Amino acid sequence: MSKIALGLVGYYQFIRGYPLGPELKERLESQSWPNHQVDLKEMNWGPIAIVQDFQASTIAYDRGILIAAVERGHKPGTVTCRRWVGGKLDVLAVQDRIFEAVTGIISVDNLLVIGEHFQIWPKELIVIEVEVPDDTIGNLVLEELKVDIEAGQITAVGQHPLSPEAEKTVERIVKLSKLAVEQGVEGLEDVVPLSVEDLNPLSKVCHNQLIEDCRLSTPIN
Amino acid sequence: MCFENLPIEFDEHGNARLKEGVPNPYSYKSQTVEEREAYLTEIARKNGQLNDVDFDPVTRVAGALAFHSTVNLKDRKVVDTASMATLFRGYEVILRGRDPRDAAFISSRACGVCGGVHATTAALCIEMALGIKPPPLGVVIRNLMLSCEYLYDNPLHLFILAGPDFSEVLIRETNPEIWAKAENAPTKFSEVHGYKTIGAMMTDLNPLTGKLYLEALEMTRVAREAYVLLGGKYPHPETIIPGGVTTTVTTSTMTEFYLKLTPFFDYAKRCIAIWDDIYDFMYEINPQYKHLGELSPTMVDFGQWDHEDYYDATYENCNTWGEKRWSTPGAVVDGKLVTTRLTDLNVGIEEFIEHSYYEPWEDCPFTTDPAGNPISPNHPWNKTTIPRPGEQNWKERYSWSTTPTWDRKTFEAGAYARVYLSALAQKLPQSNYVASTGKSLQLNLAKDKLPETMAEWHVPDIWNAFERNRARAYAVGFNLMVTIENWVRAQDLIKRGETKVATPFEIPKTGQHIGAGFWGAGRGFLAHWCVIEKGVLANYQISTPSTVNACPRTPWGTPGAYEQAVLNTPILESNFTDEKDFKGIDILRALRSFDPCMPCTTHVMVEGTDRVVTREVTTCACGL
Repeated sequence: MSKIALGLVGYYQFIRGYPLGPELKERLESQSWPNHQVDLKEMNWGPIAIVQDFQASTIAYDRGILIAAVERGHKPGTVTCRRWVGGKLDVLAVQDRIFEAVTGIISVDNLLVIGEHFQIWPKELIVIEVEVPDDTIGNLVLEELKVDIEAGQITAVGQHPLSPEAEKTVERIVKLSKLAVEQGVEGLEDVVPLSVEDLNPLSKVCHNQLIEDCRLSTPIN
Repeated sequence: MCFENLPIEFDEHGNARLKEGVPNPYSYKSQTVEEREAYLTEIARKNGQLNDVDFDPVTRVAGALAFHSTVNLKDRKVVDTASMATLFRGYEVILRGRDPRDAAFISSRACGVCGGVHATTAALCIEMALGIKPPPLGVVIRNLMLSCEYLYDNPLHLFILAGPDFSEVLIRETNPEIWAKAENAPTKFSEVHGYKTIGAMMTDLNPLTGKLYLEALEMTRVAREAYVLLGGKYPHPETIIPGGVTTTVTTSTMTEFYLKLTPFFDYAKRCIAIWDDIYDFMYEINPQYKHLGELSPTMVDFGQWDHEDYYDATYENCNTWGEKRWSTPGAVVDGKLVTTRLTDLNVGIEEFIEHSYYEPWEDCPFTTDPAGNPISPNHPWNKTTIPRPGEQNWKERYSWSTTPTWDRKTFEAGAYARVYLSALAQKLPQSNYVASTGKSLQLNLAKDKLPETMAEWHVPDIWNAFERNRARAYAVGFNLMVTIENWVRAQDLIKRGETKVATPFEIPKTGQHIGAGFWGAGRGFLAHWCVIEKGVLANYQISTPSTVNACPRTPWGTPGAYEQAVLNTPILESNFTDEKDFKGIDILRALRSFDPCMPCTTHVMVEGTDRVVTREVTTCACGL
């Protein structure tokens, strides 16, 4: 019987109104895995905690499966199966991701790198990635709450139940997760290798405003 | 009395009131765009050679914090700064309209590492609003759980975040002349930490490979394991609720817990010795380091670790139970302790949004706190979070952080503030382990492999980056001995059969109830404020230490703590020729001394609405 860690990276347990993650977890929990020991793990915390969780575990997993949303430049909703192949890790590059990790950032890319450094990953690690929408979000409808204090009513607006698109996404993730559990990377089609070179660089959100001339520039304005 | 700027005075009973004859008591004059322009122009005129350097993001926290400096490299001065929180933390919006019992669970998600402090602060907030007094053991267990978070957080800051800036790798790269001296410089406390030279210590501070770095990671694991014994899981404990905790505690649990703590007895002594040696060496090498991140000490902290004999969750009695905390609440202004009363701290708090991406709010339902003390229209109880994303403009709006002030002053928040305030206030309850002298904090660190040690943190004569970090090292010992004090109290309660850990309560479906949770994150100052109407949260406000430290300028132009500390920082980095190989290590040291942490999760606005998408809640993939 294979021992498999199935991790939902960034899953929020308590927020009503954000249905996709909880829905996904419920469906995965309802699966039976007669041939495998599957530990469904919530991974909504910093990678160091997850590393320490693995280090403290007495279970030697045969396979790991991480489900996470990413920004890899694909169409929103695209689901991709990746096989983690690691790669050469520069010490300071790992430290940069640890800086993030220990200050609370939850990131599958950081988790992969830090987990690799501390050698927690099973021999086979599959990452099921879901492409999220652009930052600008636009007019996407999401579940939120409409509050009417006077009437004492709280109603969920947006996707409830899941939109058809979200339903398809959840179904696809569940299907791929089952295949990954049952057969590993061999049972998945179109598995793309994922190495440290493929990960998103740490985001740069602020830009130099002036350096037109190294010797003379203008103040920030 | 404690307020210099707000028009508040006190009667003979210590009750606050607005001064008579002040027509618009909370009005203020904002610095105009033209005035800011003139200031920048003047900087440009005085500094012919300016280079703009971005340190982005300073803690590399996924872009949640960025810091912009204008540096005159020729004169080695920082001439202008701007601190930016680049992403919206939408918890105030998310919590609006929810069941008050959700607050602890949801606000815990504000951070991926220190969720327990948010959960506790939310529990305190709801307790005050609804009049729920936890049983003594519930209070003490909550204290012990908080201690574990701090035992996790302090080594993390000292060795994983700030420590690498003093490692061999960084020192060699930025100041090789210091490394040359460090290699053979003898240490003063080798009998405690075992290092004969400063260089050997710096080598062991190297990221990922240094022994001190790796040991700190291990100690964070031990602290988490201790937490889990009481809290069931960490991060995001589900055992903290309004009214106490939901954990079952026995003497056996307490024994296990104690065993987890024992490695910290010697570790606390070693943390103090290591950082005393490092910073004393740096001062000796170059006294200019005394100005690195220098500020006049002005800080606010609410205190933590409630005393089970005094805490009753009421606002009415909060000055009494606040001053009985194992870390004293208070405000220090320019090094002088001006109050230790929680009501004064609360009344003096305002939040401004002139340089932030928020709309002003119109509705200000409260003119006083529940005790009748006046509060500002800019007080969190009156504040409504109305996000307004916009273009970054240094003269106008440039941050998602608001600007909190106390008595119209920007201030610092940090673990060091609880050391500083507790040392000055001389109000700590009687203890065999910790004592306040008015000038110092004495810590009776228990024997393990190293002998029993009386460590003493003295209020320093200058307040800078190194002293922030040094106080953080002493905070390990302070924290540990408060833990032992509470462990003894928990044992006593269990022996007396007082094993109840929570008080049941109902959510009232009618009326308005307001509360505040005054507490502290590992990084200092943390408060939540709530307004409950008809059984749901009508308003919820959160103020975090990094909001305080990373805030943009006040409307009248005073820089926030990061901004001012970096402005005061001399550029002592030596190994560079121009901006291309300039590392900015001094600026980074100044910033990291505040233990910057800006994730608080990264929510993104939905355009044209007040809704947010929870970006790091990646599995949710909301919006698909």
